This record gives sequence, C-alpha cells and structure tokens, in this order.
Amino acid sequence: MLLEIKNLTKTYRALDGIHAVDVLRDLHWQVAPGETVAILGPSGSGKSTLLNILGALDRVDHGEVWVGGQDLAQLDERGLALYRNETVGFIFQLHHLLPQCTVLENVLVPTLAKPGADRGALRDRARELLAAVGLEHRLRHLPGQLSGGERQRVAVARALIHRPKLVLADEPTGALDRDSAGRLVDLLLEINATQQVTLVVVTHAVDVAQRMQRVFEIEHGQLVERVARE
Amino acid sequence: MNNWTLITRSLRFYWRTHLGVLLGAALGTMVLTGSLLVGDSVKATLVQQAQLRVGRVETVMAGGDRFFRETLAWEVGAVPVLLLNGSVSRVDAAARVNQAQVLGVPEAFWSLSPAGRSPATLRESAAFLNTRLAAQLGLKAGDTLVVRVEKPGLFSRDAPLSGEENEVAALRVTVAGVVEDAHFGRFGLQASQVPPMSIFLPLQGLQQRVGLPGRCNLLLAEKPAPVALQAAVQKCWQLADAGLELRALESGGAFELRTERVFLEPQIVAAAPRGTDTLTYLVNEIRAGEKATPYSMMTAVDAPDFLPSDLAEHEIVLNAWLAEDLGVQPGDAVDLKYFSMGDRRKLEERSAKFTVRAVLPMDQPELNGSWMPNFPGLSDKESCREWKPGFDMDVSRFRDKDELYWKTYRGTPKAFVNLAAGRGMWGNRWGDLTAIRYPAEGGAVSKALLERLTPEQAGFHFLAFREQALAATRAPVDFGQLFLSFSCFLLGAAAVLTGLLFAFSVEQRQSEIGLLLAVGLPPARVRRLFLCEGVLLALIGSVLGAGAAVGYTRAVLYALGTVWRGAVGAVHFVFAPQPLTLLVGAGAGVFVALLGMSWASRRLFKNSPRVLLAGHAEADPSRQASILGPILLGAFCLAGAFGLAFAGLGAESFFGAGTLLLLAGIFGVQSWLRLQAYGGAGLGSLAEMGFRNAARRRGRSLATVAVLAGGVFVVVAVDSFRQRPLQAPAEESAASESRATGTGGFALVGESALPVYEDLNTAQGREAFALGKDLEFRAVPMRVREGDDASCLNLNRALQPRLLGVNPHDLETRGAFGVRWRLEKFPGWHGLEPEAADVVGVVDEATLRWALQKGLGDTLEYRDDQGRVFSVRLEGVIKGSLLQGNVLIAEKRFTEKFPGQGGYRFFLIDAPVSKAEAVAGELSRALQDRGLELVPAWRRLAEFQAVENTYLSIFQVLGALGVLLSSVGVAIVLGRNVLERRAEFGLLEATGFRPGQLRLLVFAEHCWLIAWGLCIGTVSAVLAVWPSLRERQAGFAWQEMAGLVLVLTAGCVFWAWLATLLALRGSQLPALRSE
Repeated sequence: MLLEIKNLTKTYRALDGIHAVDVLRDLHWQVAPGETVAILGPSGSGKSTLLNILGALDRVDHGEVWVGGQDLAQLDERGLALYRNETVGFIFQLHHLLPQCTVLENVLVPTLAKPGADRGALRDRARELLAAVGLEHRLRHLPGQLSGGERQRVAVARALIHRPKLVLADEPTGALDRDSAGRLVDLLLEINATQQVTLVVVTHAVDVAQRMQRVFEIEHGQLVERVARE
Repeated sequence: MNNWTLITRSLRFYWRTHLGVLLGAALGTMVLTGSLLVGDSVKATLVQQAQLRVGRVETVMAGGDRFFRETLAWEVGAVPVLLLNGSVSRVDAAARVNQAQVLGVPEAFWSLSPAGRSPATLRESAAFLNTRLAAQLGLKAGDTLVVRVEKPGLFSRDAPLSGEENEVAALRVTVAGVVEDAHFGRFGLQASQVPPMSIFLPLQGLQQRVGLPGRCNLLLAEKPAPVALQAAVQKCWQLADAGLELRALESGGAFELRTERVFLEPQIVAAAPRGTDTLTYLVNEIRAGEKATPYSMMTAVDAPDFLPSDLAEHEIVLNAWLAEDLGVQPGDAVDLKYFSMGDRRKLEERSAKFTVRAVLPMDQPELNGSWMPNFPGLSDKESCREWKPGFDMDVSRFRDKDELYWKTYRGTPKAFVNLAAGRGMWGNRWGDLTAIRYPAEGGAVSKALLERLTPEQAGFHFLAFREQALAATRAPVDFGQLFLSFSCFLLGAAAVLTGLLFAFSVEQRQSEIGLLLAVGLPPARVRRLFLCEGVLLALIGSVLGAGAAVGYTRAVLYALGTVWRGAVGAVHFVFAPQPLTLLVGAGAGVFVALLGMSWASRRLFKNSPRVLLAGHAEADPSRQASILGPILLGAFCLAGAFGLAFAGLGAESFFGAGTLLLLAGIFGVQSWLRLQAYGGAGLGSLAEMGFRNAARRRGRSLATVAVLAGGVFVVVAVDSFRQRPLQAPAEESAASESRATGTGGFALVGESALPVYEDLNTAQGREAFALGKDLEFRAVPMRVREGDDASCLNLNRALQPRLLGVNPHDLETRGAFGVRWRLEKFPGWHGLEPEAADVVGVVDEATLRWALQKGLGDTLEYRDDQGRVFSVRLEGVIKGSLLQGNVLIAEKRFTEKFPGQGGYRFFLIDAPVSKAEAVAGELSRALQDRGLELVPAWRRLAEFQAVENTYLSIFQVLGALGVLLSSVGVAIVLGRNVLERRAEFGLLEATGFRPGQLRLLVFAEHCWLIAWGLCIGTVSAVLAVWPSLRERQAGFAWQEMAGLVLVLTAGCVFWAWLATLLALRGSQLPALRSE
C-alpha cells in the first residue's frame, strides 16, 4: 500500500476547551500505488482535514498515517518538510500562486527547498510540465495575467515538479467553470496514467468523483466506499 | 528560480506594503545615526576649539605669580607672554567686564596663532580685543577703553611686610582691532567651549605699566615636548628667573643670596649651598622699662665672627645706638613686640623678653644696611615716616632720632638674636630666612644652586599644552551616547513601528508562507526568506535614514545652539559627520529594524501551513494562550512594586517600584486580552464587542499599550525631575531654612578679578574700601587656585578643577550646604581639616559624578607652589549647590600648598533678603578696582539648574516624539485592523449599523488601548518619582504634569480619530459583496 491509515482520530475543540467535535473518528483506510481516489462529503465532514493530514499540513490526535512506508506521526518538523517536498504534491482549491512570481517561477517554488539541486534540470522539468498542462506559451506571465483554469494548471504543474508519489487535490475544480473543470480532471487522470502518480481528490462535484477509480464518502468521521469506476 | 529571485520579486511586488517598513527603518536609523553624528559634531567642535585655543603652541611654561626674564624665552626659542587678570571697561563706564584675561604679547606671539600671522601691528597704547570681549563691551576698532590690572607683587600680599602700594594699574588704550579665533581669539590656559574675554597689549608696554620690565610669566614653545622644554630652560636658567639675587656685600668680598619674594622659600634654601643663614625682620618695638624704640630692623643670625659664639636664645645683642636710646647695658632686660601673621591677614602682636648680652659699636664693619631685605614699601623710602609696610603703623611714634637713624644707617639692624630665636618669632609659611651669606666665590654658589634648583621647584609648571587641550576634548559627557540614551524611547518606538508594519505585511502574505511550508520548505527557512526581505528593506531604509540623519543632526545642533543653548552655552557647533559613524549608524539601524521585525513576526511562522493557507493565522484556536502566565507575572511585579515602595530604601527603590508597576500593568492588560479571547456567553453590548475586537489581535494591542505606557512613563517621570525655576526668596526667615539648600542660604555669590586681601567682615577691611559701617552683610571669602571649570557649564573634561580654600568654621557655624561625608568620622565642615596633614576635598555631587566621573574616596592630583605633586582626596559631597565646578579644601591646607597665592577671590555673602540688591551694588562699586562681580545666589544656582533642565527638556522632547510616533503607530494599527475587517463592517452595515456608529465602535475600541497605555504609564511614573514629588510639595506643579498627560492623550486620540475617519470612509458594503 502507498497509503495506510490506522485508528485515525482528529478532534477540534471549542474556545472553552471543553466542548469538542471529533471530525475523524477511529478511521482506517488504505490506498494502493497508482490509484485514483475521490472523497466526497458535505461541508464540515472532515474531507479537507483528512487531506491536510495526508499532506502533513495538520497533525493527527490519535492513530497512525503511513505514506510510502513512513509514519507521519513520527516525523519531526524537518522530516515533515522533507515529506511535503518529496513525497506529496498538493493542489489547492485557491491554487495559492505567488503573485510576484512568473508562471515558470511558481512551478519552481518547491525546488527552493533543495538548494543543491540541478537548477537547469529542474527548469527543464518545469517547462515540460507546463507544456504538458498546455501553458508553454505563458512561462513569463504573472498569475494575475492568467485565467482561473490556467492558474489551477500551474498549481498542478507545481505539485508535480518533484515527481511525487502522491498528489492530493483539495477541491481542485471548486473555483472553475464546468469546461475548465473537465479539462483539469482530464489532465490529472492523464498524469496519473503517464506518471503512475497516486491521486486523492477531495471534491463536492459528483461528476469529478465518478471519474476516479474509487470513491469514498465521509460519514460520521468514517470513510465509506460508495462507487467504483468501471 | 532561487531564493534571491523570490526575495527580489517579492520586494518589487509588495513595494507599497513595504513602504511603511522602509520608512520605519529609515526613522530608526535616522534617530540612531543622528544621535551618533551629534556626538561626532560636538567632539569635532571641541577639537576645533582646542586647536584654535592652542594654535601652534605645543608646550608652555606657566609661572602664575612668578616672573622670569623675557630673555629666557628668546634663549630657548620660545615666545614670552605676560598673562594677568584684570577688568576692562569702556571709558564712558557704560559697560565693564570684571573677569578679563590681560595678555602682554610680543609680535612673535601671533606667529603661534592658528593663522600664523599678526592681524595687524600693535602699537603702543593700543590693544586687540577678542570677539567675545568686544561684543560684551560693545567696542570696535578706534574706541578707547580702560584696563585695570593688579601690579603683581613679587611677594605675597598676604605676608607681613608685603607693602601696601597702590597695587592696581589703570591703562587707557585704543582698540586696534578685534581678533577672531584664527588670531588667538580663543587663547587661554583653561579648556572651555566659551572663550575667555581677552585683551592683547604690547608686551613691553604692559611690563612697564605693571612694574615688571623685562619680565614674563608664560612661555610658549612651538616644538619641544615638556621634558625637552624643561631641559632647555634648565640650560639657560639664571637666578633672576627664580627671583633670586646673589649680591656682593661690601665687606670682604662676601656674597648674599636673597630673593625678590623677601623670604627664601624652603625649596630654595634646600637647594642652596650651605652658608650663613639670616633672618631680618621689622619689630614694632624694643622696650626697656619706660624707654621704647619704635619700628626697628632686627636680624637673627648665628655669626660667631662678630656676635658671641654662645649667644643663647634668650639673649640679644644691641647696637650702640639702641643701647643708648634705651639706656641699657649688658645684663639688662629688653622686651620685643612684633607682628606675626594670623588667619585672614590678621596681624597678631606678640612679645618676647631678652637679656642684653653685648653692645656692638656703630663702627663695627658688620653693622650696615645690607642685612635688610628689599621690603616693599620700606626700602625705597627716604623717610621712615613714609613707610608702608602693609600694616597699620603709628608713624607718630617715630622720633626725629629715628628719622635720623634711617637717613644715616638705613636698614642697619639695631639688634641681633640667634637664628633659632629669630625663626621662632618671625618664621612664617613663606619661609624663615631672608638671606644666606657666603664668604666668597659667588660664581660657584650660583652654579651650584642653578644645578640643584629646577624651574619646577621654583614654581614654574611645564604643560603639554596641545596634548592636554586635546585630552580635555574627551568630554565627560559623550553627546553621542547622551542623545542615544535620550532617543532610546524614540528608537524603541521606531523599532516597534517597523516590526508592526512588517508583521502586517507578512500577515497579508500568510497564504504564501503556508504554501512555501506546504511545498516542503522548512519553517526556519521560510522565516529566513521573509526576514531577508526585511533585511533588504532595512538596508534601503537605513541608507535613507543615514541621509536623513544628516538633517536630523543639523536640526539637533541648531536646537543646541538656540532653544537648548542652556545645556552647552553659546557655542557654534560645526557639523562633522564621520563616514564610519554613518556606517555604524546604518548598520545598527538595520539591526534594530531586524530585531523589531523578527520579534513582531515570530508568532506568525509558528502557525501550521493549513491555518496559514486558509489565511486565518490570527484566529487559530491553537493560539489560545493561558492567562495564568501573565497573571502570575503581573502579580509578582505588583507585589515587587509594593514591596519596594514600602521598603523605605529611598528614591531608587521607588523608581524600581514604578518600573515594576509599569510591567504589572502591561501583564495585566495581556491577561485581560487573553481573557477576552476566550469569549463568553454572548455579546451584550457594542462595548463588549469592542473589547473582543481589541483582543482579536493581542500582539498588536499589547504592543500599542506597552509602547504608549512606556512613552508616557518616560515623559512624565522625566518631567518630575525638572527643577522649577528658582526665584528670589521672599521672606527674611528663608535664610535659616535654606542653609541646607543649594544656595547655602547665602544671598549673594561673586568673584573678583583681582584678589581682595582685606577682611570685609572687619571695620578695618570695610574702611579700606570706604564701605559704610551700617552696610548689613557678612562675607565668607575663599581663596582661589585657578583650574578647569568642572561645572556642567563646561563641555570639556576638567583635568584639574579649580580649588577653593575655605575656612571650614565659616560654613560650619552657618550650617551652610549640607555636606555628606564618605566616612562618618568627619564632623560637618570641620572634616576639611582632619588631624592628619591630608588634603581633603568636598565637591558638588554633579561635579563628582559627571564632570570628574569619580567617586568619594578618589583623589585628584595638583602641584603645589614648589612643584611637588599632592593629592586632594574627595571625601564629601554637597548636593545641587552653586559651588558646582569647584573643589573645596580647607584654607589652612590651601595656604600650606600655595603660600604665594595671596588674597581672596570668591565670596559668599550673607545679607538680609530685602537689602541684598543694595549690598551687591555697594560692594561692586566699592571693590570696582578689584573687579568684584556679585550675583544673587539663587540666580547662580538657577544657571546650573537650567543646564539640567535643558537636558531633561531634550530627553522629554525626544520622549514625546516617541509617544507621538507611538500614537501614529496606534493609527496605523487601527487602519490595518479596519482594512482586515472591511467585510465584517460591511456585514454590520448590512444588519443596520450606520457608518457613524461603525466609526464610533472602532474609535472606542482603540481608545480603550490608548486609555490603558496612558493610565498605566502615568500611575507607574508617579509612583516611580513619588519621593521627588513629595520633596517638592510646594514647588511641584501638578497642573503642569496633568497638562502634559492631557496633551499626550489629545495627540493619541487625535491620531486614532483621524485614522478612523480615513479608514471608514463611505460604505463598507462593497467589501461584503466582494466576499
């Protein structure tokens, strides 16, 4: 398994420190390498929380999260940073591009974590990725000069710059129109197919979910598998 | 893409946001660098003044009241100068300067000036004035003036038989020109930023007028070091330079060593080859029964060649004239009456009984007038009835036979006693020999004496003039450090502002931080990236700030020369920025800004990437901090504050208590803010909503409160240290109550240009100056040994402060100036005269601490009249007195060390308050020739207090600027808060709030912070300075302090209201719509 969760519990406490809500409760889950997985669920059900935990953007309260053979709970700050940089690629709903950097530079942002890396090779890789997402003609543009769909494609390219084993996408089409959303999902699946990247997508959109191999829904803090793609 | 690319891109992209940070850093650098540049400029000014003062002179030999041959100076390649004190007045008496420096200078003097040439040829009866003196008298070239100088007495006028010639010479001269600094306008032996008032006269003319032809007392050398100059002088040294004479006697080729100063000083006697010591004195009366001979010369000598070799101490040998006059024979008894010198030149008539051992015939060869020294006022008189020996002589007692004796035998002694008896009767602090006689070989004696007697032993001091002048510029108060400490709060406010603005900028980009963390950059690295951006901003800001510092420095120097001139006197400061200072200032500016930025943004980087990506860093529940910590710390500080306040440890403990209370208040606010953040059952009112909002950004709110409280604390506390302007005491009874104050309860204080030898408290002394007997005053006179002014009025370092010799009894009986001793064994002012021969000194506390930078028990080194080094041990202090700048020693010790320093020049005058002005006027008029200048004691003290007050004003102005900056910070915080909550305000508007209500809500929310800051600052400041306030219950102006707090409050409220108006212009609904 690429990803394995055991007894995961995540609780949010109220300001008074007494009242608490268990968003994820004693959750178990496994994902094989190369799989595409969708997670559905209503707002506040814990989808993004699960994704944040998988991306090491948030810590678990109880349980174990194993990704690529390492338990995230055991990693220190340095280990977590390395994990985020090498193992996962994150695509956010609001893409979070740096407005001051060009498209090419935005894709290269994760490479800043590796000062000794071959800059030329990385630049070539960024160009390839941008070409793959159809933005080879926008390399020197700033995010403010792109459409919403284009910005999200830059975010996809950025997520893949370090050849991650796992791509996590949090509502990647949430801010896009239907056509753009469709093209982005095509792109993600193509990348999955060509680069053997495991894809976990959190979404509200059932049509997006249905294009994934496995679909889960969070109910009462547990993942329930709903539909499987043909 | 690399770090550098990201940083530079960010700098360019967010330039608007960064502008504030940049300006904050620039402001901090400006204040910091500016302060250092002020220090540079003050130092450069002092160095420039020192260089103008010394010109090309490297070393000097100063004689004071000892005069050497002018030729000596030429022989050693130096320039001779005659330097005297005097008074200068306009011929129309419209203006007068009592403390002027009168210089007799040769043409070569000007070649040593900074300009290296004479401003013009100085003709006879003409004079140059320096700019200050000319301005003071309102004189210009061509005008006429009168100079009064004392005809220097070679023999101390304090001494018996010192003569009573009219010692003041008045010179009427024409102003030939006014000399600028480049032409030695600043020349003087003492270091001060204020030049002396100098008048330059032709050397020969002055020498003639004061009766010292060919004599000088100052030698200026261009090149040699003191040791080399001393060697050169020693080589050309003659007896006349030490005021000595080796005179051939009429009998048998013998020689006699004598001195112009009448009594041979001990060091001269010690250096002289052994000969026959003699002491000749004028006795008042020699009596045998009913018969008495008045005013006769007597000699004490052990001279076996013509006196009985076994002459005992109680035996006397008379000459035949006297024996006949008294009708005595060997074996008869005679009584002597003679004067000896008591305190304050009081002559005490004493008597001694002798038995006549022998009578010498008048044709005895040794009976001649050569025994009589050159007593001023006696030797040159044709008639003994014209004698003016310096004491009241009853000339009616002279008989015709006495007159005939004087005409026939001149100073031939009428009687002889042995040396021991003579020394016992007539020895005094100036010496106990009037001559040493040698049988022959005068040349050998002269050579031997000159080899053994150094110029220093003869009372000449060699000074490394330039070196000492430059050393004095190492001012005790480093203005750079001073302004830096004065600006510390302003600097702190700038740093906090920079930090806040940087934190705002970073908060605005929190999703960017979240992203960088999410893509795997370690948190420390991300923080470094942002701080690098900050460093670049600080660098640019510091370059701008360093540029602005030039203007800031100029403004401060201008203020020091105008509105703050009370601190430094009338000084024109040169602007002298040092490149290294600019560099250091800019570097330090970057550091301070970085410190502020690092501190203000430290929490943000501790948020999880998820929170940062969501842009909710400030609302992260995980940031809920315990209120226990600040409550405990606050309670601890509060307990400490009360403990210190009630411990009764003095003023310092109250200051500590105030500081702890300030901290307790800040911790209290922190607890309150944290408590608010925990929320509650619901929002009951708009005010509660305001509290909750204030707690939303706890860091910002706390910084606002802390900076405001700190600023108000500084400004209010400093204000309470300000001395209220002194005014003339209103009631007679004030004198006794005010004895322990800074005026010592005296009505007047003054100094004279020339010494006053008479005791102004006696009828005789008053008579000498034609002072009315009913003039109600008592004087405490003090002797003065000139030295550096060590008061706060002098910016230069006082290397050897001026010494005042005072009779402790005068101050002790009055209980004047409460002196505090280091050791309890010293009882009151009598502590100045311990049983041991130590020289104990008392100084003003400010002089000890700031000018001398010494502590009690430390010593100061001086040279006595014989060139020997002695120490003055500082054992006592007086607080805030008009004696600031001087070192007080006992008069007894003073006269032991400086027997040649005659008369008194410093006076404290007791007079009824209502008559003080009349007394001042009458005394100044009567002692006009002595150049006496009196001022009310309270005014002199006020001059010193003005310096302290000016420093406090500077501190306060810079502190108030800090508070102003803090209030601007409040406005920026407010604006930022509103900007971040536009949608929230839109929502409130959508729910029915009017824009005016919203403004009120925001304004009230921030007014809470202002109120907290002002209250905490004021209350803790009042506690900190409580002892000082209580001490001045009558004098302290509560209204002034309340006014100050009100002004600060108004300033803060104004900025907050302005920011509210600007930030909440128009409707906020569009912001809601855009969400």
